[in-house]
Amino acid sequence: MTSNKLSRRGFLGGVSAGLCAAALPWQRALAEAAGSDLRFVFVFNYGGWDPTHVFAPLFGNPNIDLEVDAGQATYGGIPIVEHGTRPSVSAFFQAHHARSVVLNGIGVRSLSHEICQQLMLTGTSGASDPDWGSRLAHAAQASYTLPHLVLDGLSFPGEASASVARTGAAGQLDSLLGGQLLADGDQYAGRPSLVQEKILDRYLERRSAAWADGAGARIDPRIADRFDASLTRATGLKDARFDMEFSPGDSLGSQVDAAVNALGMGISRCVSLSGPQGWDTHTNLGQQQGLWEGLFAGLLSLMDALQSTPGHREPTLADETVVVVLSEMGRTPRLNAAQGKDHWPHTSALLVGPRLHGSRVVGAFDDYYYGRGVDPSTAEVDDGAPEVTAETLGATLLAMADVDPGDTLRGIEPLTGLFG
Amino acid sequence: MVGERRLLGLLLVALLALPACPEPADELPPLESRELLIRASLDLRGVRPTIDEYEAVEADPDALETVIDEWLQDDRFGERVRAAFAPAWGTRVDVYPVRAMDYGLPESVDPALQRSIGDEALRMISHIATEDLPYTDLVTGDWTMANELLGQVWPLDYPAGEAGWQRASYTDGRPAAGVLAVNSLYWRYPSNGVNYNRGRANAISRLLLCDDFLSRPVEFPRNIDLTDEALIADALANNSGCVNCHVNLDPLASYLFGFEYAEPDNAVEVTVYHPEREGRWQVTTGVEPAYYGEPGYTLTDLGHQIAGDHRFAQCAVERVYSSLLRRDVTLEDMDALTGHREAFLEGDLTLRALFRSVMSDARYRSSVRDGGGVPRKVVDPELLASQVEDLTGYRFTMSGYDMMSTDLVGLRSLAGGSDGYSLSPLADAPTPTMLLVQERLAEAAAWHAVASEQEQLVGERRLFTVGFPADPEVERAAFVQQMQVLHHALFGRRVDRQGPEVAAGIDLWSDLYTASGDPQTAWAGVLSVLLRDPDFVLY
Repeated sequence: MTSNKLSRRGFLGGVSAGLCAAALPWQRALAEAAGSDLRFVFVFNYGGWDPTHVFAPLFGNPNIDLEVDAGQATYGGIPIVEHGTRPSVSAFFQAHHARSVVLNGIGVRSLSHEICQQLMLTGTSGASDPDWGSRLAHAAQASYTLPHLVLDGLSFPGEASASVARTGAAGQLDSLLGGQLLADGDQYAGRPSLVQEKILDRYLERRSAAWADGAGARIDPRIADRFDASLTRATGLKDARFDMEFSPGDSLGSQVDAAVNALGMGISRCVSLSGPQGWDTHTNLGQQQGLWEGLFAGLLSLMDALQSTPGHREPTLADETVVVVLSEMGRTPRLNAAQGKDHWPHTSALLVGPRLHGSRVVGAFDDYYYGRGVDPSTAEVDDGAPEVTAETLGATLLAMADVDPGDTLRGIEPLTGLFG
Repeated sequence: MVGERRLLGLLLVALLALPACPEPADELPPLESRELLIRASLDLRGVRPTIDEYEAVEADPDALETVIDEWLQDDRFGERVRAAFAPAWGTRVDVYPVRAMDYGLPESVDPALQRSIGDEALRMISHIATEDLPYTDLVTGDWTMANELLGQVWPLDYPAGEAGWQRASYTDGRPAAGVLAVNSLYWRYPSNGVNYNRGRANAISRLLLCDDFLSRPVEFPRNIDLTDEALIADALANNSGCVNCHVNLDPLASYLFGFEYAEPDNAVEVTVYHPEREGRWQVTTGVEPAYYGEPGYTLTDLGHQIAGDHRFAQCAVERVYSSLLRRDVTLEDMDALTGHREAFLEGDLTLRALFRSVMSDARYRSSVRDGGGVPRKVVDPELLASQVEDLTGYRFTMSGYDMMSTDLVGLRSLAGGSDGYSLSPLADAPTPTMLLVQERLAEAAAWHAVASEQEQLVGERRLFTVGFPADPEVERAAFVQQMQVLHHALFGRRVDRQGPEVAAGIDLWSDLYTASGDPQTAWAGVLSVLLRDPDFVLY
């Protein structure tokens, strides 16, 4: 049986190499991170945002209702909708437009939150395929204790399940790692000390290996491998708890420190967060003003933290981390009777990070607010080309990281014109 | 010519992509009888076999079929039925729109109330199973299931002063339509103002017919202006891209206006049925209630229409099959599903007949994945909790929460469970957090079991029937015997007194004793690591 499990020695070696690299930033090449070195932060906004609040300044289009008191501003080559209630949006693009790409007109083929969330995160409408973060993380799983850390929101680990861990809505992972959670239970009678825990863990590691080896044809090696790999990662996580906290809270701002710690310490390649809650504004679209402000305030914090944390191969984490900001759908172009907007199958996304040709908007909405086609090689609008879909986005992220897109994305062309 | 060449190319690609012919199901290597006994016991009762049951099947392998029949009558079978349907139904969510405080109940009752609401529909299914009622009662019955909490706050004829789950009927004049007329379904699947119950209609189609309109790719027509409401209405009726779904979805949705809520946040408003709103389809979508072209008037009509649809029984078969094999149904399963459907029909549509049929399937009893078998199933959070509780008496509860069955404060999703909202499937393989949950649960349960059994007479104990020997040199025989008992009780395995399991267990005990100086702590450690064993969590 072959196993790609991460050995403790390998992990520690990887971490110390990373720390050494971080200590000597001036010795490193100035070239941007190679695909295989890229890290990712996903910020998902559940409920369906309205791109006409920021990404789609479609002023003057009679088919589309925009805020009456909003205006247009341009940062670098990125025109956005600007509004007095959202200073963080302007501040973000002012500071980070050079590394930002706005992707407009992404098609999702459905109007259901659940289906669109699956589509946007996995490229399929089934829940058995791994999401982008899990695929990217699993491809480099040998180098990380916990390749994909999900601090909040949905997770579709699929066959990458041994590489993914959620922290829980109330930070349960943190108290689980230390064992305190069970101590607060109604029937608590005791637990092993740290020394005893180490003895038990070592015993189980030996037992797991013997079980996999001795089971022969009776145990599917894939299951045995995943048990073994999960056990190794669980033990690694327990050790990591002394260095970082896994109870981030449920606001984007409060998740930033945990996310950047996990990336900076080399524990994770991907971290998933969620933006503000309440985007599903079928009534009173005005609620989105505060949500956009909260989102971009959180993104400013995230970028500050990435820029002030040493990278593993580049000067800072910001030089080797791609931030992917998305929502499962857009909202209808017109207001409904309740002054809200309903579900719409075309939306936008924001990518921020190295390797991107920044200060740019890729894709577009047409007069009726449908997505327009994009030439994958140039990333220019081309109405003869296919429209950008969730699968295109996923294929692009995988291509940026030099990860094989696999069967589910076979035939989907990544937007290679977007990065280089 | 070009078309023919392309067709040939596609055929070639398709042929090359075909997997090798799967092994016929009846030739799949079967689990050994001990392993099958464990699998069946966990799937039907949520607990492991007793030592007596292991010994009975060991003495007579043919007794296995009788044992399975007996377990189908077990009181715990109902929970396993609920567990089989729960991931698809998604009703076991932590928070419903109405809280205990809205009914004037103390906040401490809220976890129990939320869980009760989430179990209403699932209890109907399990009641049908355990009472051998026809599955069609699920959509035609004039009853629901309620406990004392729901009986207290909902308009039900639940007997005052009683407690526990039992049949009850709503008293607010709602039509008799089984699960189609219960509060919890429409609270779990709400409909916003302009959706006009289409989302709910799709939920009904998905849950009861396994037909999810939303899983169909939507091709939004670009030749019309969908920003114009009048044109949208016209497109829903006339545009082929829209009509394909809406021609059936919208008439189904029109049955549901009695559950339309004018004030979704008002507990009184959403607790009762609104017969006066049944006709609101006339002023909203304008589409008359109907079921795939057959007109109807009330939810009672809809219930009978669904009960008469062949997909209703077929969907139940797929749910049970998929749950017991812990994988999605594939095209290769169609023959098997047909056979189980026949057994379901011949069994008067009783779920016991269906479970029995699937559990006799060679795929269920196989030990390999190839050919559609089940190599090993990972215990879901409830199954982990129930088997640990049965063996040790320990259940992880805190402040009114059953911690293995909630996500808000508990460990369900970290333990690989489906979280209800996202409808993500149960984990089909171990994950890091799942093993962490198993570890902490095993520790707490083991320490609890040692503390509890120390207080019991030897004859009353489940696990430490030999005792708690404290010196392996002096009491070697007792150590060996106690290790053998633990392996037999947990895994049904008779390990040799000279075997590696016994030696490794005694070495572990010694290491733990050296670290703690306490024999009971060392025994708790030994038990905890057995509760984390791959053979305990993969079955």
